[in-house]
Amino acid sequence: MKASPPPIGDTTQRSAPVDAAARGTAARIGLLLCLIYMVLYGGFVAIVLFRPDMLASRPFGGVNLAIAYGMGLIASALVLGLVYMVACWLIESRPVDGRVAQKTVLPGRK
Amino acid sequence: MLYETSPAAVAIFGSFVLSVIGLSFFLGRKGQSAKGYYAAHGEIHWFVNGIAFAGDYLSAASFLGICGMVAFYGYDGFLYSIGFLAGWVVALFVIAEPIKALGKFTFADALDSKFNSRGIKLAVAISTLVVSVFYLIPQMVGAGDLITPLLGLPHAAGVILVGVAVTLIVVTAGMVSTTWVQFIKGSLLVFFCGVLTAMILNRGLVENTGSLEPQVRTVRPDGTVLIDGEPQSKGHDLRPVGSIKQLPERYGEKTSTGPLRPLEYLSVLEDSTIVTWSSKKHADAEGVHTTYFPVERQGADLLKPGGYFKGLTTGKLADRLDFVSLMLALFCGTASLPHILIRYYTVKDQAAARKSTVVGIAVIGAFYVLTLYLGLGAMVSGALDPTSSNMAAPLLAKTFNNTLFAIISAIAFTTVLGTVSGLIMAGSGAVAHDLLENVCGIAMTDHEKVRYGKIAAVFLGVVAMALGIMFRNFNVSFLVGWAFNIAASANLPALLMLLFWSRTTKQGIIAAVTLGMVSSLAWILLSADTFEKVYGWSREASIVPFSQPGLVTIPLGFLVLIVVSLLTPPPAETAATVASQSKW
Repeated sequence: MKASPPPIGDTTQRSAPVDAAARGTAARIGLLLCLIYMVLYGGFVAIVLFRPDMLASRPFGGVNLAIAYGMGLIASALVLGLVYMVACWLIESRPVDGRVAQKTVLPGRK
Repeated sequence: MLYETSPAAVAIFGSFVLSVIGLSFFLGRKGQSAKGYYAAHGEIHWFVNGIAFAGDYLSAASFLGICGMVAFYGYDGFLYSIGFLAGWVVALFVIAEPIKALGKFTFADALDSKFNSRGIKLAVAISTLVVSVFYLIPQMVGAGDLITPLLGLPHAAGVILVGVAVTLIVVTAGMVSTTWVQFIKGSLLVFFCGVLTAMILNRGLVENTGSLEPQVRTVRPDGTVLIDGEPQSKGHDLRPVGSIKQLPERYGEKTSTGPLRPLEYLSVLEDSTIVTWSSKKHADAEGVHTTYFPVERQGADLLKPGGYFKGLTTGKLADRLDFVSLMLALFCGTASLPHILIRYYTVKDQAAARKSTVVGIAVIGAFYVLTLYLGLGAMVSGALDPTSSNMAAPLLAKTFNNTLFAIISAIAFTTVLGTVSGLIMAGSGAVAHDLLENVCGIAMTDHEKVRYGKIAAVFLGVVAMALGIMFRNFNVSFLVGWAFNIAASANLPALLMLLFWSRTTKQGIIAAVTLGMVSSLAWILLSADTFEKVYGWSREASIVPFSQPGLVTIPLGFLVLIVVSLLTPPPAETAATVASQSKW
């Protein structure tokens, strides 16, 4: 791997990036959370297609599963987003060579 | 139905337009550099950007369309909400931070960040323009359609009003003013939807024993309209519809529930008997007759899928694939819409991009939950116009008071401004920055970049107005679906593979964007929905097995990129560059 990657677009106008290893970890967490949401979303679509009768049931007493699952998908998008935000904050606050990741400078950047 | 002009709605909307244009001129001094014009200097606070995401994304279709669909068909309108919101998960977890790190002004900047290829810039600029124009046309036509019932002005006046206002907003301060207009619009929209929902819950559910006699609307060859055989007038018009015939047994003789909690409202509605209205058409020498007739249904049936997506109940494989394809396009399309992606350049860094997306998800998610209540509230309000689902939310507001009707009407029209300004910004960047500067190689100073951007915005504003008037009599709502499908098929595969596959080549990206765009367009043009709704032909004559292309064309985009990339030599630096930059 080259020590100094070529500039991406106009680097002079870009904000201070974070430590590459920390970003890699955050990216993997992001992908994992995206996968979790895809399973939830795919599960919903599968129930609509193959077990629509289930959606009329009222597993939680009040509203039916169709409403509960739909609102749950909306809520889970926000919850997973908050989890990701906290995870990134923890990762970026981790000391890296005596500094926090947020303040590190990418290779090749002065 | 005929509507009376609301002077209050005109006054509120006029005040809003004058305020945002005044604000734009005030902010104009901040948008004079290229970075200011295209990216608001990257200085927008993440919270403001998050609300602006909502203002950018929540179009008139989201507000009026989903409310109307829930009011007329029940749960299926909420399916759209679920799909529209799910796309933001992809934006947050996969797209937001890389886009912020890789790009500068436009989506093409990000996709071309590693290659410096004119081919990529050209393909992506065309894709951006196609997606933006397809998204723009329904907004402009919708503005014209809304202005008559809401503000009492002719169709062309609505189109020109929106076109001129948006062009002024964009050319004065570019992304700075666009951001603030979207922020104000997003805030107002969600706040007043919240107010309206609180009023619905406070009113509870009420049995309504209005007339259930069928109604006939006849349009004669000379264009005159008859209602039940008599000329239509304000004193003789279609009756408003939509009611609860019977509350659940536990309410006994009571005809009203009184205030209800949010989940309780849904639960009671599910146990109620509801009267919705359907229609059927027939034509004879006298004209085209549309008969509106009541249908008694159980709330439980309206609160599960199948009211609008009839294919879900037929059991046909093609219908099921069509539904899966739609949900896939909604999931993948949001994170590939150029006018959404360019908002990431307006914040200072990746952390701000991430935080603003979470704010966007919170606001947009809340809005979609509120629209479910607005739609269901309208369904049983006894105020629905049987001829127009788009008027469900304003007419619901009218059942409370005329001031709320005026505010909701003005906000409904205002939603168009926020979305159209974002689209014009995206198109302006594609024309001036991508095509003129990067593809045609026209050298520009910083000042000229802004000037060309503003000229492009004016040009696009004029084109938008012309298209809005030209397409007045066409059914253009399907174009939003096209935009989502093209964005998902052309842009997402290229962006994801660029980020996560080091073997991606510029030829692969060009092929994926081009083929994704062409294949999804071709599929839609050959689909049963287009045959029926656009050409007026038989659905059976269509060539493709189902209407939504995403299920085929999104994987095709990935496949083409992989095959072409493997068949072309990797650039010398690709492996190292991607390995280092994929961590942004």
